[in-house]
Amino acid sequence: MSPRLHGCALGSLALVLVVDAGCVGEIGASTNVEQGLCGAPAAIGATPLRRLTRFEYNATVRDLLGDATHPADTFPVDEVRAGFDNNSASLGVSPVQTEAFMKAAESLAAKAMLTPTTFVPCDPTKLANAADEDACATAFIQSFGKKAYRRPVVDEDLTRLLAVFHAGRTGADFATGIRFILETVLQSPQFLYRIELALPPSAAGATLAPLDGYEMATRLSYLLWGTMPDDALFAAADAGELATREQVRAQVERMMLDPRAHASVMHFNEQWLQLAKMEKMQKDTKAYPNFDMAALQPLMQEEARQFIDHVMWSEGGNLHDLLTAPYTFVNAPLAKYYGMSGVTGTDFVRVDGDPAHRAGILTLGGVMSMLAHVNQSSPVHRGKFVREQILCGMMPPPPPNVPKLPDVDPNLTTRERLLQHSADPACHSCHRLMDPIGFGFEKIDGAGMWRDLENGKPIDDSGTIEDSDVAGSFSGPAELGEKLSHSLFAQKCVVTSWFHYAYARLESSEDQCTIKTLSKRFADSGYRFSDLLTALTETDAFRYRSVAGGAQ
Amino acid sequence: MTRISRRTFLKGAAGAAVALPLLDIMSRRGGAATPAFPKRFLVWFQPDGSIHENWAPTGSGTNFTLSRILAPLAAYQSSLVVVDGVKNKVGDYGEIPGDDHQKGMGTMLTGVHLLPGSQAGGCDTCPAAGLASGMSVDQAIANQISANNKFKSLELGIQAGSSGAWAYSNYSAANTPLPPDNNPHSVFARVFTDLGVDSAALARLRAERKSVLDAVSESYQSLSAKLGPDDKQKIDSHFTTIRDLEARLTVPGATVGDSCSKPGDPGKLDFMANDNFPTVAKLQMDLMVMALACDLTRVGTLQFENSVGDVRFSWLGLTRGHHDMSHDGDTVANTIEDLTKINIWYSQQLAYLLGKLKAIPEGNGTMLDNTLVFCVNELSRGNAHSHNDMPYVLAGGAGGALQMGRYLKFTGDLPHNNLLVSLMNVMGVGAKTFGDPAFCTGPLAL
Repeated sequence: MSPRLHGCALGSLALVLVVDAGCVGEIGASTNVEQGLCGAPAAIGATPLRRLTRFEYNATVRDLLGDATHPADTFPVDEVRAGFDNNSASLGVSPVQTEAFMKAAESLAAKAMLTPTTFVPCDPTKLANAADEDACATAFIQSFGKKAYRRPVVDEDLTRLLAVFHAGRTGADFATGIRFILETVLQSPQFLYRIELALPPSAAGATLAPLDGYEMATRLSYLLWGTMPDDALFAAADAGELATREQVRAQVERMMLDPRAHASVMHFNEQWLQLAKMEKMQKDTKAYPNFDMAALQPLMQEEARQFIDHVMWSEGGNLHDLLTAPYTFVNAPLAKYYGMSGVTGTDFVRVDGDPAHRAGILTLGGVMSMLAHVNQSSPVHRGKFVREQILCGMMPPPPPNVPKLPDVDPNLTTRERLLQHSADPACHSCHRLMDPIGFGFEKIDGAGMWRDLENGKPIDDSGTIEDSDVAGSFSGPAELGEKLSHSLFAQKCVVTSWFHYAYARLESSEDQCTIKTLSKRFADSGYRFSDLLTALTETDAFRYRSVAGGAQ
Repeated sequence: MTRISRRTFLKGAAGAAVALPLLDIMSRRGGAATPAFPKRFLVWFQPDGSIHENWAPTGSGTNFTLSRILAPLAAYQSSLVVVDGVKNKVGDYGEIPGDDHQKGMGTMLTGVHLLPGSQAGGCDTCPAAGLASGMSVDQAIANQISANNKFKSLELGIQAGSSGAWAYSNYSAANTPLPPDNNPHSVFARVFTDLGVDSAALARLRAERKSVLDAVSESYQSLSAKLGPDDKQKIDSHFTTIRDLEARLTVPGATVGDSCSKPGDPGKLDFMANDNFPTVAKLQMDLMVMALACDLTRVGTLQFENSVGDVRFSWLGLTRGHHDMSHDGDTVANTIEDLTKINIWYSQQLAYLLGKLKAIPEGNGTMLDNTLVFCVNELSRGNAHSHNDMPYVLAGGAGGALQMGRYLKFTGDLPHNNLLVSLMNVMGVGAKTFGDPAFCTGPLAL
């Protein structure tokens, strides 16, 4: 099922947010695996095997081997589906990818063996005989293998890895044998994939199965941190202390205080809000003589990151803040560009702006600039962004054979020119959904600067939202942000986007309970992001795996 | 004098068993016979359609004059076959997933429809698309002519972005794209690092990789047996790529000498930065040509942008993106002219590639004579999103298997699957049909 609305007939598509309080059961009330959160038997969509993404691979080898060089940056780009790079059904492996895994494993293993005592539980210089070496290699396989495979190694693993050790040891030295083990482990499916096979289905013929402690630890660490479990999670799994919702929640609370949680949540937001567009933007220096791309583009990106990070993690940070906050974060060079006074130094500090001019993330300089042409603003791109990313609608690209546009008067404002264009009925059916939203940002130019005049004429930044639960007119960005923050479409959009990212798949009809649970928890919390994140770890979708088409 | 880099080909391919008798015959005859150089197949992709009235030559057959867009190829006119009037019918068929760009892209080399999927395209009614439902023709050719080379094929991109059906030219199987590598530095590292390394060290590395990959393979097989069908398919597919990688370890690769030399490392550059597009294009073409000259592969793709590619051709003085411009109606001032300029620029790049191929002597001719470059586009005309009169160009010589220097204008609404069959035949791959048989009536009369 497509997560996106398709075509321009949005009015006919019912995007109904069902918040049925009666559906949501008492959390933690039952340990019966058959009992779902919604009272009925638990049901979830198919959960395909997940391959580590580039983002996850980098973080995992950082935590496993201490290698912070981001080796996966040279891997083929992960296939993006529904806006995210981790969709489990889409992530395949090409020959180039397999070769890249091999080269990275070789390079990482070689680097690790520069300091073997960091990894090997013995002093390689004091191994007297083959028996000593085998004992040390075995201990290494058990300790390192458990971390890399994210569960204790089984006999089959041990046998295979010891054989590889001997293949490397023969004709070379102990360290070479260890290096062979490392190379093998880093290319094995137990490392590259998130294998969930430990526990059988909850009953004969059941379509779902519970997770064991190691699998739960792994789901938690990759969702909240984008990386492998830490020692505390391994210890909890060893002790069987990830079985109840209370035990899981205790770990979640701990993990949310770790800086790694910021990176994973940022990775979501950067994709949801398409911040990579900032890296591709170009500006015409004739139109924007003060816009020094090389200097300002990284600062605008950092401004967006700091703003998002603040909203996500500050006490009570919620959807309303994201779409309406009147403040931003700037350092001296960026403040100078924006014409803000009183900011010194290169560190970013919070600056409060005119509340009438600001709509949180939407009005940040970088976001407004990336949603603009090289030499002018673009109500079309800005409206499209709101329609697609904030409201989860889908706007098609322009149709074939765009007719000859009427000659435009260069003395008109952008709004006046666009109104001429969208007067054409063929254009109007789609542009009515975008342009009148984008008009609300017209007092912010194509390089992120506030303006009151265009071509000497006063700018009209009133607009309308059509085909939405918050349909109606507004004036300026602040009113637009306020309206959007109360839209059920926007609230549902956050939930489904997080579903796609957190569970690395699209939702299906079996996931209705999970979606309803998330929506209710998000609503009950006042649309706080931290509560939604916690809720994502407590749904049926998070606690079970499907056995239908995937794992047996 | 005959300059056959005999060493290269004897050592360069485990397929020497095939090549050797021919070379022996040749040496006995003192080089009088047809040189037994391998045939190579290259795909050239550029997006967003062409401008047919400025693309189509005038005249016909061997007596034709190149158009404005193809004029930069004048020096190679005798090495071209311009194929006009053929339609991508499977891509134009309405009731399959995808918009016209997606369908054009996914069917262009595969001749089969797209799978249903999640990528909503640019039309109100077309179902959301997944990836292509079958293998692309370059891979069908590679399976035969490049199976024993170090790389079965090389897919190089020049800012080939995005993902999904819009992005991929090449497929090894249904739903299994071969994403192009956009980074010249990593292409260099992957393709040429081993070249010229001392043989003892290389032998050690190969032995090490064999040990490790054997063990890795076992763990994929063992896991596969425990999985349900969907996950099993994924793990088996990964396993296949490992076995393939392992099999290629025994292929020694090329020996530097004659026309094969280790290129310089292009180094790190911002290969996705818009204005670096021409620089990256040249680097990728150079790497591809040298990979062919060293016989590291016999099949490759140069994918410029992707369908709906929106590169800004700022070096031509253009400020709007390529795809953005391609939607303008014909009457919009300057757009047709600007799009023509873009297409002329692409022809200049193709001329550069052909020049590089021609600069490598092989027997009495050059590598160009033994290569066939298949130039494709996902659309015929950008603003119409049409798939008829596709702007196909064949360049090179295909080892003498195709008479070059012609302008062929087909009539009768022939499907492009027919052209794909003919290309396979020209490359020595026996086939009577390719892709969806409902859209294939046999080889095109090239």
